[in-house]
Amino acid sequence: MSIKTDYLSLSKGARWHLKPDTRGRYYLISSRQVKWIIVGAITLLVFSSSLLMAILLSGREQVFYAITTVILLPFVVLALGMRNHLMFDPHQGLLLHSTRWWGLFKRESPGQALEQVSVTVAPIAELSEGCQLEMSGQRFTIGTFEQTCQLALFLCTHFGVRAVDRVTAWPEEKQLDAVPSDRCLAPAEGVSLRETPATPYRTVWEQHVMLKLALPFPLFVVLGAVLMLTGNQGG
Amino acid sequence: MGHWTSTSPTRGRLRFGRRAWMWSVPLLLFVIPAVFLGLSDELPVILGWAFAATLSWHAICVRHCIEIDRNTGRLTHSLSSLYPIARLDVPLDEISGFCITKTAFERHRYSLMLMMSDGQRVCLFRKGRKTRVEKYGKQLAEFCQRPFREEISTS
Repeated sequence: MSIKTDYLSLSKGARWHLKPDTRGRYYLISSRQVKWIIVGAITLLVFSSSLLMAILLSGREQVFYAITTVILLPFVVLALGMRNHLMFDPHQGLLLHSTRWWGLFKRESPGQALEQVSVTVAPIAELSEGCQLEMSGQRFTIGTFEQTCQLALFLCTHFGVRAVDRVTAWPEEKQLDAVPSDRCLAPAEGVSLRETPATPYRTVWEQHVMLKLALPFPLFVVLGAVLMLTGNQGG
Repeated sequence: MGHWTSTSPTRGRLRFGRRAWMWSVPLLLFVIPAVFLGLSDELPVILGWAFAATLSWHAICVRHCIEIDRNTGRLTHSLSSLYPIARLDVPLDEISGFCITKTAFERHRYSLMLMMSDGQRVCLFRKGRKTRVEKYGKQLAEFCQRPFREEISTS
């Protein structure tokens, strides 16, 4: 199957992190870019409220907000324009670190060889379900185990990176094998995935603990009422 | 604080809140005299007394422990206060290991998780200091003969 068909069969979460560029190369959005965008979005929020105030108010207040707007503008432009990608280049066989700013100052520095790169399907341990993809010290939250495996196999099949699974035999790592090129990369076919758990276990903290702890309370309220009555009679 | 006791090579127990009864002392100073002196007929006083009485009940009676019995091959996490509150019973065969983890928004609060062989994750202890949670995890893992790891999912 073609890379495009395989890409379209990936889950929404996977396609949010892995995108094709104009030249048909695929890249993962690095966590550094995500941080810049978050900073940019927060600054944009402050910037827009300042701008609104600068338009609506008059006198000294208008001057104050106008100055704030002017000060914030470069930060918004700087932060929102940052692009930092981990580009898979199968022609050079390299993982490229591509940076640019609003399409300017393009720089592609070569990283590891793709055969040396390993992508790991790892559990998000603090949650009862959900997996993420680990690559070059970065983590990408994808979704379910099946969806994350599908992305790992996509990268393994088309770019020759090493795909590893740390979920099924935790804490051991298991190699995932590339899917033959004539087969579609569907989650069910990609790998022998685990079955749905036979007995789902519920942690004690999810068993309405607070509600059950409050059970003696009504009893004590009644007892308190009785004590009040006896107290009043005695008095 | 949790306290690990192993009565035999096949049975071990991690018990939490052994000193919880201390919290009941100041509460009982209010609750017990009220029984003898009677309560005033104001609703907030009655509700306050009932609340203090409930808290002291739990401070004295609560039992929170994780028990491992290698003879029966089970790990039991139970919470009770004279009456059962919550219970988790897991076969040891299905446990693949123990790990400590934390969420992105909590820098120093760690949780102890039970990793199951079918990929499930069950929380045993929530939001504790790293050294403390690590100690519990290592004690349980060693007794169950399972691996213990730190599995942090946030960069």
